[in-house]
Amino acid sequence: MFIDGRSVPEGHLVDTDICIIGTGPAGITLGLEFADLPFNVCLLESGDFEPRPEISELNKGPTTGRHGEALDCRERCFGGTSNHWTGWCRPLDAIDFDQRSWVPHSGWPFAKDHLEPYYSRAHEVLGIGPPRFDAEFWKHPEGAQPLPLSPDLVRTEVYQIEARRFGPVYRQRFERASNLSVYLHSSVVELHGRPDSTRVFDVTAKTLEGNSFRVRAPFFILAAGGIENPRLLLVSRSRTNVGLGNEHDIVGRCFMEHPHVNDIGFWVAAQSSIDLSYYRPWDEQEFRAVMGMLVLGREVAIRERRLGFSATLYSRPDEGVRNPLSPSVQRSAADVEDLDTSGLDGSDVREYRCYCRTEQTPNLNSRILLTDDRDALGLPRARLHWELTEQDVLNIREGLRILGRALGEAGVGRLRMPADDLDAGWVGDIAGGCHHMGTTRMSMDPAWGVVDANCKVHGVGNLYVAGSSVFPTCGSANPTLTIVALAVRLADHIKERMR
Amino acid sequence: MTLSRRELARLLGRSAAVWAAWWAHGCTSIGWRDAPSVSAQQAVDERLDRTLADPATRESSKALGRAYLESYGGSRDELRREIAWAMDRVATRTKPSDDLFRRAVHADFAEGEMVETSGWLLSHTEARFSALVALAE
Repeated sequence: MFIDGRSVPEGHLVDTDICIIGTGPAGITLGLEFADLPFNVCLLESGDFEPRPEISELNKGPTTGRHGEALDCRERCFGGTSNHWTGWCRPLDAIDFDQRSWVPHSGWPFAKDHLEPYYSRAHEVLGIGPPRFDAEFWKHPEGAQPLPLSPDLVRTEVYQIEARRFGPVYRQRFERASNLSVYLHSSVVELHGRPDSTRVFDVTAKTLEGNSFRVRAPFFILAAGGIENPRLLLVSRSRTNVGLGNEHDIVGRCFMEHPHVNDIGFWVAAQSSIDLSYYRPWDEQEFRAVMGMLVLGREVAIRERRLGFSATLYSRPDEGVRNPLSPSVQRSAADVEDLDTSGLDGSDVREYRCYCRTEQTPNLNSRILLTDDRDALGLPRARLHWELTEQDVLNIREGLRILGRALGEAGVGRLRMPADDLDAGWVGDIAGGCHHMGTTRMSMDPAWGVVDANCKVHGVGNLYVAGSSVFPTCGSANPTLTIVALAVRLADHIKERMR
Repeated sequence: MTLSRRELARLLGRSAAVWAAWWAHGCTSIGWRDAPSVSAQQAVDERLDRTLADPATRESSKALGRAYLESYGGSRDELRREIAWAMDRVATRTKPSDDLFRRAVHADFAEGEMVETSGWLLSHTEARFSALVALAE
């Protein structure tokens, strides 16, 4: 059932069993898991079924550091940002869950094995294929092969791609479910606790029309994204004046993105016709596409103390078949004319590009803060300060170096490295992928985490967080598959507590 | 660090005490290598001749080689010897028909013996060869 929050009388109290704040992939997955069970679930969505400018305006806020568009790439509507995502799905690697001595504050409270069953269930929610991502399993329909790179250095895996729009796809399910009530146009502005209690009692939702109402429940789940989750915790000060779960000043800190570097580190093939078809999206019958990609080998990552690094390969249609030694390629001459091809076969050398996405180290200074400026609902706006460390930049370059080594060893080609100067242009061009992670991070130690292994806020008995804001580290894989897997897992936990 | 007998002798002088200390140390702090094989040196020369005869490859190699020399230096003899050594290193692992230079380059990458020259990530052997081309004219 969908209810327009603007029609709810001022001061009305909604009593329910579980209150979910946000209907993006995490919130909708939770709703699906709870559908038609013998308890009531209320979902509060800030927007409508489609994005609206006046509601998107609530996202705005200043940014410092990098990535000026980060706050604007979110969507407030039923389905959330899944309504405009690219659908690239891949799980985190096993190493991403490990405590790594070279990655500050790393280590999830559980290993990847623990999450595997939830990943499998997440595949159903996302409408993708079997939970396999290895090249041995995924055979190209026309026989295209992965590059023969040493798997100790770089291995080929795949993305499964299905840009499922959670809003339109699951709307009917939510309409029909007997126990789900979705309140649209209903933005949560505060979670209420009391100084003498460890519980959240209710939340206040407001609409842009001016009316507000409260929702009371035994359980609350914050699923509003990597910016709004910490923002709402920080503004909720009825229990303590530092914000919910923020006794150790960790809420909003360790904001992570996946640093993306495009059009850099291009390489040339030794053979006249390297077939990159495996690394282009190919159609699948059951879902949209599969696409090969490259990821660092576990052993080399440990040996060389690297963070996550992955790359996709492509050829540029306008340049991909030219000999870089040819005088006709004058405009890129600075890049390619001085390449020595003596170690390569033949003169028909081609140019290709790679697109890297990497892992960011958890960094306390990279964070979400509140400003004095307020939005139309009276809520302090969020300020994002995205800060990369020298280690983050070095990791991109060293990941490319390992990729270049693998390409050279296989006789496939040579890779051009970006400048090692931290002030180089490419460093300034590092962008994010609209992956907002880490701001309510998971840790067994309340001093270093906002939520525990069950995604429950430390020190608050009935408040949980869903979404990539709980990632303590982020690997290099796109986050949605893991977001959905963690939501499935959280739903199981809540169902157990509801018994 | 690897040195030829002659270079080693020049560095250490003829002091018996120094030589004795070095031998006692197990010859491990400084690598010991004989001169490269004649066949490997001939292979380097042949490859150099072929490269110099191909204008496109020659020019690209020279540009790259100049950049290498600016960063790392090296004389013709040293470069030629290093390349030949690299080929000798893989000779026992290859079939007679194999291109030793290519095998040496492969071995460099496999062992992480790489160098950045003009931004390109190259095997040490191929970078040295470019430098040799640059010095050839």
